[in-house]
Amino acid sequence: MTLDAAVADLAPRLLRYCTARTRDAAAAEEIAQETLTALIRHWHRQGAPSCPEAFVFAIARRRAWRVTAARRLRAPLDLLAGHADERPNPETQMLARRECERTLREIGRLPRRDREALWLVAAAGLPSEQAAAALGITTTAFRMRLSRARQRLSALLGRQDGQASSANRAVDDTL
Amino acid sequence: MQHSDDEFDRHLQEWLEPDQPTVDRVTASAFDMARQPASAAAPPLLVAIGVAALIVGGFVAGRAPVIRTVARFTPGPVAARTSAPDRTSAATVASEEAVSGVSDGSVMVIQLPDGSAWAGNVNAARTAVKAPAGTGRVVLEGGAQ
Repeated sequence: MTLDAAVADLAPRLLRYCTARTRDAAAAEEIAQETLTALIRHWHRQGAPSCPEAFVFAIARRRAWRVTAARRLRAPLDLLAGHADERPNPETQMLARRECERTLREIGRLPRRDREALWLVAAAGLPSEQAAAALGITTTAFRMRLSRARQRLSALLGRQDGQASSANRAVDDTL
Repeated sequence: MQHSDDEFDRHLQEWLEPDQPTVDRVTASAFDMARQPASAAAPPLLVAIGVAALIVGGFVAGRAPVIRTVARFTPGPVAARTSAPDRTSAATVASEEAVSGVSDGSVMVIQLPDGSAWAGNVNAARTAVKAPAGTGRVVLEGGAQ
């Protein structure tokens, strides 16, 4: 695989993964760009990594963590300073399609390890072997984690559906 | 189950799919950045840690004389650890007068001829109990010998 082909293959997957993690299109672009830069530099200096997917997603994971941690730290300060802008920007508006936003929100409520597994497979589209390599765990352990994550997410989404239909029924009864 | 998982993944990927101009922009920027020499600027976190280390270092340096003084301070005879009824730091006895003491290996308690007692560490006992100048030496009996 050539460098150009690897970058062309990984760029959209990285963008999906980073968007799912940060829920911020601008931050996702920035992280994806920095991660791909690291891959290109590594490729030029030391050749192709043994598993380019694991290489880039391990980097993207760390950078996305830093971005979300920094955002959490800054949020109260922005609020105090009155800099918090509640208006969604056009990119966020585009992202805020209802079902997608709801699903991402529920994934975000899962335990850290579970949601990481889901992001890598469901959002980035990595096979289990490569996702396991990116997380530094065995494929078997990863599959178990992913299965547990899917079950938990399904329960969360199902519960919300149940609550919504109960609320709708209550509204119907009132009317 | 596998089918619904695949379907879920496909939906999520469709929702998150970036548009082609975005992909092209990110790819082109990555190649551009990779061509530039790696920036020597330290990441902000490292800069913050460096500044914090300087501040703490400056504070420690400012307090250093006090710290050194404290470190140099050595406690005197361990009289506090004895149950001696009295303590004379520089007892003087008549020349060649024998005094006796008992020691537990580290603390010496000496009964002086005038009835008072001296307590201190064993090594200090030889110099702490003195004969008058030019009159000879004090013979210590007991553990100090």
